[in-house]
Amino acid sequence: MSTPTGDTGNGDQQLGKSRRRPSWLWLGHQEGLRASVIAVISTVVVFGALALVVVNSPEWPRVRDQFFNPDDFKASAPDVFGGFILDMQMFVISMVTIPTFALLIAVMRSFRGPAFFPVRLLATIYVDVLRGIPLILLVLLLGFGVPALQIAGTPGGALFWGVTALTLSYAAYTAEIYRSGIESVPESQRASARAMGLTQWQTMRYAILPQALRNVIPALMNTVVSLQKDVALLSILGVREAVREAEIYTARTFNYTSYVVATLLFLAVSIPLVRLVDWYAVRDRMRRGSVGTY
Amino acid sequence: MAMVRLDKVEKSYGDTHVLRGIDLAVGEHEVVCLIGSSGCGKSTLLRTINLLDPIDGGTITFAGQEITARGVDANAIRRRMGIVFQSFNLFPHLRVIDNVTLGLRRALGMKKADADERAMTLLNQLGLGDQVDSYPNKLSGGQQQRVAICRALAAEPELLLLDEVTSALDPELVGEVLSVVRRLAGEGMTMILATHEMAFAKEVADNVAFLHGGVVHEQGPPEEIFGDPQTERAQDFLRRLREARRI
Ligand SMILES: Nc1ncnc2c1ncn2[C@@H]1O[C@H](COP(=O)(O)OP(=O)(O)OP(=O)(O)O)[C@@H](O)[C@H]1O
Ligand SMILES: [Mg+2]
Repeated sequence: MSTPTGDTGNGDQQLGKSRRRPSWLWLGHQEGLRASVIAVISTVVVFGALALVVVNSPEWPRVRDQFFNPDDFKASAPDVFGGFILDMQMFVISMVTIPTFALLIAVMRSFRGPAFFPVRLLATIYVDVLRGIPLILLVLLLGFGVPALQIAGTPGGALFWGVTALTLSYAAYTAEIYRSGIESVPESQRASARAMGLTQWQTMRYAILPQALRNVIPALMNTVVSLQKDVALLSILGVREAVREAEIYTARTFNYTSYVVATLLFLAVSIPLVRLVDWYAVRDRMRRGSVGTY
Repeated sequence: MAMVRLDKVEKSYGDTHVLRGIDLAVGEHEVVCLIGSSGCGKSTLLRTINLLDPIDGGTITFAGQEITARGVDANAIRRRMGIVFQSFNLFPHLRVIDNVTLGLRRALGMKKADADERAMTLLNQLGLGDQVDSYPNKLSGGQQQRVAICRALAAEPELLLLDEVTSALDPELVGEVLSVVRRLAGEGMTMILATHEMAFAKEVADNVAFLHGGVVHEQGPPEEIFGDPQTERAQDFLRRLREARRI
């Protein structure tokens, strides 16, 4: 039970310390003040050295003007930020459409019995095909292809079809996550729900899914993190989101600072998101570890 | 008239022919104990009765209706039976009270208030009144099994199936569960129970069925089966239990 920090604490305190709640900046096991000091010093040294190498490189002044120009930063920021708002809107919409559609597919795939074979087959084909198409191709095919068909009554916008492509592709992956969660629930749970006279659907809804979803929250959160960035793919359709706006600015001024603006905006959202996912994953592990399997 | 009747019931899992023609009749208010060595098919038999496992041959009749016939609404039949499993199988994400009311509300369509009231009455009767808001993993094995019994009783079943309900319990917790079963037997509940508790079987059973080779090899009142078994297999089985001091 002793640690190399030479403490005078008793065993109970040790236990308390190792069980402390994970902080939002949980980066792994760090014990004691000495360890923290070492961590800070080595971080400063490593990043300082890296910065020196970059700043002293022969082409740095030119790169600085092209990528980190304060004037261009100010000039491009409003448009890029406006585009980024659109990115976040698409992100939020997809966060509703993807889980909903994915759940439908996962449940379709999990129904038992010969009567449901066509349903299972359909869901399986869907997942296999959609997981096999690179997202960028799907975005191009739907974004340019469907509007070109000019089918009466279909929405024509690239924005609409872009988000649809995103939804269709991500739903295939997300459905697989759900399905792994559904399959992680022991068969005996299904048996006791059916034994009460619940239908297959009710069993899924009230007994299986609540447990399945809890099991896959960390995996789902990771999907959210990559989705937050992949909305930028819709720029290839000409949707005027952040990357597209940055591109427009660059084409006009031959200066790349607008890309840095877009990068910073995406980071501003994704870093807290990633921290949140990590924090949750650790908390989840701890909770399971202390409670044990049920 | 028998409440439950099995005629030549057959069941295979792949190449394992588990049930090879089970004949069994259980009268109303009767308690029948299934005994037999591990793997002889006691659990399988109970699962076929509440239609969790489809049978491959024979018929099962329940309250005058052939429930293994085509087109029978299995959910409707299951609502009239209760089953309790060896490993409790409570829903870990639901509080005790919600475990008990889930079937009432979703399968029987009862209102929440009515379902809660009925569940509370049952839970109180089984000494779980102060656990209603707990989650199952906070309870002892004995408490969990009593919750599972409440859950099975909630829909006021005509038949209760109990599958080795004390096997997963620590010895000191067996008594609290058995006393519940004893009380149910006293109240006239029709029950089929698979059990390794021979002393208990002797006490509560009206009839004991010894399963061997996929059939009911010998059956009769407990005094006869335990006191004077006729078949060699039953004699063997009981002798081995005696040697292991299980009787
Ligand atoms: N779902 C299943 N799939 C395949 N084989 C099974 C399945 N369920 C049971 N079996 C097999 O059927 C046989 C009977 O099993 P069952 O659980 O009914 O026995 P049991 O009498 O209840 O035994 P125990 O006293 O150990 O509980 C065993 O050989 C078992 O391996
Ligand atoms: Mg068994």
